[in-house]
Amino acid sequence: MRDRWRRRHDPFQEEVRASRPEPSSDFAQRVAASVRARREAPRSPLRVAVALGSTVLLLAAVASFGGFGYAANAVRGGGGGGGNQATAQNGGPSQEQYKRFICHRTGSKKNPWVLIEVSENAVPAHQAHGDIIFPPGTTREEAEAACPPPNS
Amino acid sequence: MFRDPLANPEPLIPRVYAYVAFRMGHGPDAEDVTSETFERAVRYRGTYKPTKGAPITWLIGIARHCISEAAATREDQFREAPEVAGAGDLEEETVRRLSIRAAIAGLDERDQEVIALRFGADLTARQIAALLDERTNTIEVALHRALSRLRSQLESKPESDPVRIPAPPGLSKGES
Repeated sequence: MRDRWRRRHDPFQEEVRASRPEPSSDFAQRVAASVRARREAPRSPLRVAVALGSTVLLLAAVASFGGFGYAANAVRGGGGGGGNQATAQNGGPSQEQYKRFICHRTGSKKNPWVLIEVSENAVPAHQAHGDIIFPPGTTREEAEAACPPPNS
Repeated sequence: MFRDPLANPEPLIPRVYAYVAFRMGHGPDAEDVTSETFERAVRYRGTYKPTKGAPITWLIGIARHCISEAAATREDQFREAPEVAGAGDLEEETVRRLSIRAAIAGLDERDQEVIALRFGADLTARQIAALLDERTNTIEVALHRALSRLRSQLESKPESDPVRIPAPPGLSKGES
């Protein structure tokens, strides 16, 4: 902005600028043509070979980790540990699907059982502790009705 | 992402040439250095980083290297064999322009550099500062001083006097 202002208001600067040497049009055209020709020249075979080699290496690396099919399955929720996460993030079945209601034995005399909801991954530990595990798909109401167990 | 600094070379050529010609004198030497600048620019265009400045700043950086290399290998024809043009030979405006160019050539290295960058390459003070690795304010002051010296040099040399100019192509004494 300040440069433009100076350009407009200082006649001496205008004069200096006007005195600047201009290349002959023939020379300018020659340089421009040379630049364009070299820019549009086909890439060297060595560069093409390097590019191809890098692509092959990249594909090999992807294949060694299960290939593109694994990633596609994961997104669809079809398999692998990452599938659960990807499905939940993409608006599929929620993480609630992987929760289980259990009737947890507290060891307390006053409240010996309490209904809790745990991850499916924690089920074996609770089972070992002697808790009552409800089957998948049990609603909270059904679990509440069944906890504490009738013989407790 | 790669951005080609030479996608549109036409507007860049006169600016690079003007900078080089201000530094070396208008003529075949300036043309050679300008050609060499663009030659290198095409070769190394992959190294251009848009975040570091406009294509013209990058090109002027290359041109500066080319000028110092040319200066090391060639004789400075402008200073050793300047051409003399009388005011009667050319129109008044042309004489004035040539007087300015000659006066610029009489300035010291630093003044020539900032004037060539500002008025030849048409860089802003900020771009010059980035190129020379200095502060914008320093460059503005340097420009102001260089212009003052140029002005006083022109005032001390009446325009009717013969002016010493570099030999431009096609404008030698016999052709004009």
